[in-house]
Amino acid sequence: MKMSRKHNEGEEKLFERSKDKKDIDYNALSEALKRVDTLVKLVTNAKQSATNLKEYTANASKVSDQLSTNIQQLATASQQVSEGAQRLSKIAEESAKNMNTLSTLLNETAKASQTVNSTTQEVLGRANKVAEMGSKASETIRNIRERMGQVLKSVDNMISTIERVGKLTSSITDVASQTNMLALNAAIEAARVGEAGRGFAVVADAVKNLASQTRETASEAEASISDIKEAGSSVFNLAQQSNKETVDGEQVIRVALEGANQIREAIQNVAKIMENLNAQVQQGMASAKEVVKAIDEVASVAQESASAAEEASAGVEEQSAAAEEMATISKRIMNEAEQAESRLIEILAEAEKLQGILRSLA
Amino acid sequence: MMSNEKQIVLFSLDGVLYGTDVHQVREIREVQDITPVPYAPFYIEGVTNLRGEVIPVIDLRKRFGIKEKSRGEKSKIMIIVQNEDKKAVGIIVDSVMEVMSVSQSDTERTPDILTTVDSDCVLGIAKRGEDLIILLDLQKVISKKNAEATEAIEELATSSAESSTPETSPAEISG
Repeated sequence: MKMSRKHNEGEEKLFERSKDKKDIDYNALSEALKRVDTLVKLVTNAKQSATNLKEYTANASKVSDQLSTNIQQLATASQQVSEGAQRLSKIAEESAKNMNTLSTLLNETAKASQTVNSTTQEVLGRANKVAEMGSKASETIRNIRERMGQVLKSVDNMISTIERVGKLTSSITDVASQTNMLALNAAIEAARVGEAGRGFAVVADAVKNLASQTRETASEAEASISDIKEAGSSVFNLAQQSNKETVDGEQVIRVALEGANQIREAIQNVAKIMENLNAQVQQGMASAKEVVKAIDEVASVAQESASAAEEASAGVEEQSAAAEEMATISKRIMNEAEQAESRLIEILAEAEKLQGILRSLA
Repeated sequence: MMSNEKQIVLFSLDGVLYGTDVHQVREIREVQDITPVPYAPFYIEGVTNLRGEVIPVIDLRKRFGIKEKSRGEKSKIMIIVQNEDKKAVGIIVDSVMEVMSVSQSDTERTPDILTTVDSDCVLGIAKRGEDLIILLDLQKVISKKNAEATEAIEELATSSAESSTPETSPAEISG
């Protein structure tokens, strides 16, 4: 109402002026009115556009604010990612160190097990040699015993042969002594006959001599035989003793051989165990290598992700700055839009006032 | 008996050589199985079968009072002689060596000291190189008379010393 009053005041002034001027061109007036109407319409539209623009820019400002916030969050997150990646990298480094230590230990173990292996191989070789020598010795002793048995048999045969010979000599001695007796008796007979028996006595004497020679020879033979027998007996005893000793020796060697075999078995077991250990150590080493490789990969990936995160962070900061700028710009645009709107409102008011005047004139 | 040479049978007993006239010797034999005879004199080993003839066997060691040979080593030689009754008697000696002749010149009479006792058993002592041979009359050695004397001495010995001791024998030889 207030407005309309003011309006009326303007129209009145305009009217007063027109009263002054009696020569009014109504056609031109009508034309002007038309034009003012169009102007009002245009301004109204412009005002509406400015209002719309204001609203849009307000929205844009809001959105850019949101974007800025989001970007800030993203920056924080990427910072966290970077930190995490760095921590992971450190952990990986430490793990790698530990794995290296483990690898070194495994290497040492492998070396030690190799040393043990070579030692056991050496000992095994020696045990094998002992076993070999032992079986050779055993065989030799067996041969000796066999031969000893043959010797024993031979000596036994020899002794019984000699005994038989001894019997023969004793029967020779017997015959000789009987012959001797016969010769004696013959000599006695011959002596008793006296001169007539002289020739016979000579024969008897010769026979007696032969008999005593035979006896001497036989007794020599007997002495030799008893010597031989004695020697044979001692050989027999020696051979028997040797035989017994070879049996003992065989026993000793057998025990030694068993011992060597046991050692060999034990060492073979040790070797087997060492082989297993070695294989396991090798596997462990291979695994450790893989682990180290994996850790290295993890480390490099962590490093990459850390740098990526840093890059991202940098990008985000840039974006953030851009977003803030955008927000500022959109605010300025909004301000401009507001000013434009208010001016357009003023312009519209003037235009409507003009419109009123023109109508009253018409 | 011969003019100046005599044939003797040489035998030994405990390392001593003895000789006896060949005419006293019938033969030399090996000792066969001897059967001991109860109540016989100690020096009589027993009786034996000589070709169907049963003859007594005397151990001259025991007869002379010499220690017996070590056990299991009994002499197996005996001289068969004839006693006064023409009966054969076996006399066991250590060994019989040979028939030999001794000359009168090599024979000496028994030393006087030995003849103090009745010693007609010992006829003399013959020399053969360094060896001495005691010449015995074996018939007299085994004669009853001598045997009885021996027995008497032996009894005395046994009564005092329980066993047949050799100490009595030297007297016996000389007696």
